[in-house]
Amino acid sequence: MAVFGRALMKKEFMLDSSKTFLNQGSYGNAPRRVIECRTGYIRMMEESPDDYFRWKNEDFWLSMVQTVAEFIGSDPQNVVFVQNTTTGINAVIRSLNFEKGDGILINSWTYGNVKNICAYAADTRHVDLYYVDIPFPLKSVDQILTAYEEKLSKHQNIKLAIVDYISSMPPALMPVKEMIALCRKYDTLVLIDGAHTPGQLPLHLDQLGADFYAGNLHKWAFAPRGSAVLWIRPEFHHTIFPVVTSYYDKEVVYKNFFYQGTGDNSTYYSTAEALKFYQEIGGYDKISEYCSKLALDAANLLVKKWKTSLYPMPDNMLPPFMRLIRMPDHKWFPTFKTSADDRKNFCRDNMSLMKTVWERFQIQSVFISIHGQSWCRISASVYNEIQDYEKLADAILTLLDEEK
Amino acid sequence: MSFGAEIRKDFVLDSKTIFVNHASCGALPLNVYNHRLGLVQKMESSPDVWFRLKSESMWKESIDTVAEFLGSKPSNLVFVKSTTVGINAVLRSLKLGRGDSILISSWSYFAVKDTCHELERQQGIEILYVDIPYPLKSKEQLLELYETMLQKHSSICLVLLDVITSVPPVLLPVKQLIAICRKYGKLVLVDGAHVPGHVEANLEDLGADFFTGNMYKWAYAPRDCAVLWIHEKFHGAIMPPVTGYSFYGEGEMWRNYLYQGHGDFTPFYSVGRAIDFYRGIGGREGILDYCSSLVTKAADLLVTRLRTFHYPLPEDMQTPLMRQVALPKLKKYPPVIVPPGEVKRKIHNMMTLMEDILNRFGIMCACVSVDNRAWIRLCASVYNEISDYEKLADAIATLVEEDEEIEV
Repeated sequence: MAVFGRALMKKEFMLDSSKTFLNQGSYGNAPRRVIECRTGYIRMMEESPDDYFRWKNEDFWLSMVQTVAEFIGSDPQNVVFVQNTTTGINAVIRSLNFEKGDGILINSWTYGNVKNICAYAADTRHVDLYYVDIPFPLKSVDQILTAYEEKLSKHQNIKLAIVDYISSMPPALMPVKEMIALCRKYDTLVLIDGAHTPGQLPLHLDQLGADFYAGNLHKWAFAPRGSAVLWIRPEFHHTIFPVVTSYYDKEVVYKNFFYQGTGDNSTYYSTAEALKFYQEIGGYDKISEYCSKLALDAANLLVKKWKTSLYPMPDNMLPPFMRLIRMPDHKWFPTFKTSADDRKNFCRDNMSLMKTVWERFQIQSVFISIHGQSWCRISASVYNEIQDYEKLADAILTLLDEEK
Repeated sequence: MSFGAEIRKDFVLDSKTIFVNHASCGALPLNVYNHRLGLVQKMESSPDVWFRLKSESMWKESIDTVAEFLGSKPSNLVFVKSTTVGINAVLRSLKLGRGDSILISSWSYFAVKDTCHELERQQGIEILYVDIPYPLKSKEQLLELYETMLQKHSSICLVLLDVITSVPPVLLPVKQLIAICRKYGKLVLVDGAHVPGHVEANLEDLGADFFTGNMYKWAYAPRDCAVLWIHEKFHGAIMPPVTGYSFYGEGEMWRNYLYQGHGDFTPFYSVGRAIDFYRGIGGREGILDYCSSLVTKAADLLVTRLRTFHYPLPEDMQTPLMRQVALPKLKKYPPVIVPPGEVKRKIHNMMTLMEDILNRFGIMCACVSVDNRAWIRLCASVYNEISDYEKLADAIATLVEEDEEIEV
């Protein structure tokens, strides 16, 4: 079993080992051997493109789908590859037959891209958009479930609910099973945004009870950027088409997603190598044990050093490998007045702080404002160790000191 | 410039195979390949910096470079992964529906046909075809066919025109076709998949509403690098098929195309290196000087050796770098017979024949069935020489011998 922490970073990852990376959650990081595996496919493609596209491509696809389907607890026939969760969600929404007056339900923690997709659907297909404003602070899971029940019972025209499995901002483990049950009660289709889940949670998609699921392999499952899965319940196999039509088969769903012109599917074909790495370093049990503890210890450290607090949410909603910590009160970490239902200003990147912390301290982390308050989102991955977060704590304290 | 076997070593292409099908997938120079991998390395060593701090400037710089190459204003140009994506972006954004028609042709690329029929299913748009006759006698005959369709069907909202079709490979009188479409007040989307690097492009002067073309075919960029040109008046209206981070109405158009969720966009950022390579080996003039005469010789060689004929086309509609030559009738590899009037599935790949030629003779060439006959669609690129086509002729001759019967 591999040793976790900086030794693993140096041995296996392409990240610059003289710097500190606390943001596996945003872009993912694939180990060198996985990138090399991918390069091998690109090389094969370039050495003999016709051979690759006409005769090898489909076999690679089918073999990889088999491997990945097992990892996510699904029958291979229900799974196709897409570039990322955003693309998968676009495919579902653009394929479903919405009529004027049909509703889509999202909430304030729904990912930015997904909010945009829904807004576009509302604008172009005359869908009604419904929104649950998640209270701040959030005291219990029941507050979310009550708000959902209220919306679903009041608006029987809601055709689809998009539910995060683990939301991005704030990072939270949502009560997904209960939310699916509610949607079933009101005959609403459920699309799970599982961007953060492969590798962070064990998945059993065939038993989850959703209609659609999209999740990234390139975040926590160490695949190269540009590999994600779309899971489609069997009754929808002939309904869901990719956003770009290239091949057009009305019978076999994967063929439409697989054949996207002479595009580069090498990221998908490297997923087996990524999952092999994942198992080799300990698999879900060992990785979870290490990263969960690290996330907990890191959060405690930062809260103590900055004399602040965690984003207020129930303990049973804390995601395994991420935390959101309040920044100290200071002009570096701006706050502004807003209300819980101010949707436009809900979440904003603090780019200048991210840039400063990177340039001055060589630390990559996410600084953001939510509800007008300033926060830092940390990720704990297999190449991180507690010293990384000590560096982050000290960097911020240095900035505070300088401004006195 | 030393073309043929000499420059072959500068490509990633496998040295054991003869490639005479540049048109389908392109071929990547080692130089551009290594540059792209270098960018991947940079991306992986510091992803946040790459995506948050570097992406936008790399995009803009690459757009400026490719805009200059294609005679386009940078503000009208965005990257897309392929022509197919560009076409999907336009057609899916236009909000056409029941009562509207799109005009394509029997020579339209199969993915274009499929996209149109998917929209027919989803939105009730009618798909109309110009059924191009065999043989096509002249440019004028083609122009007349378009004029007739446009006169007859006032429901046509948009015409999808090729500059160079894939199968059969034909150079269409696109400016004259656009003029006819304008006369009838129709929107024009130009499928220029084969244009960059092959024929001169001056997108601002083309007169179209939309144009999309691949950089990875004749302009040596890595796969997943193409452009979409959008007339200014449509900047707010044409959204990429994937809605991502940004959203129209809230900023410049190009951001919608850059922010497509996370992925590897290094092919876009390698386009400058590809264009440098293209210019370094002689640019369009130098390349066509070698390749155009080579493909003509190659086609003549095959026609003579195999005792068949060229795909019948007016002389002024031959493309610079591609030709189509009839195959002798082979019992083992029959063409697909298409009933008259059937326009949707007129053109087919002959996969078994292509596979056998590759596996038995180590030659990769495109064999197609169109107009009820089997053909080879030939390409000449800078790494080809006449001996490639001699070997191809030998291979076909062997198949013919084995097949017992020859007909001319």
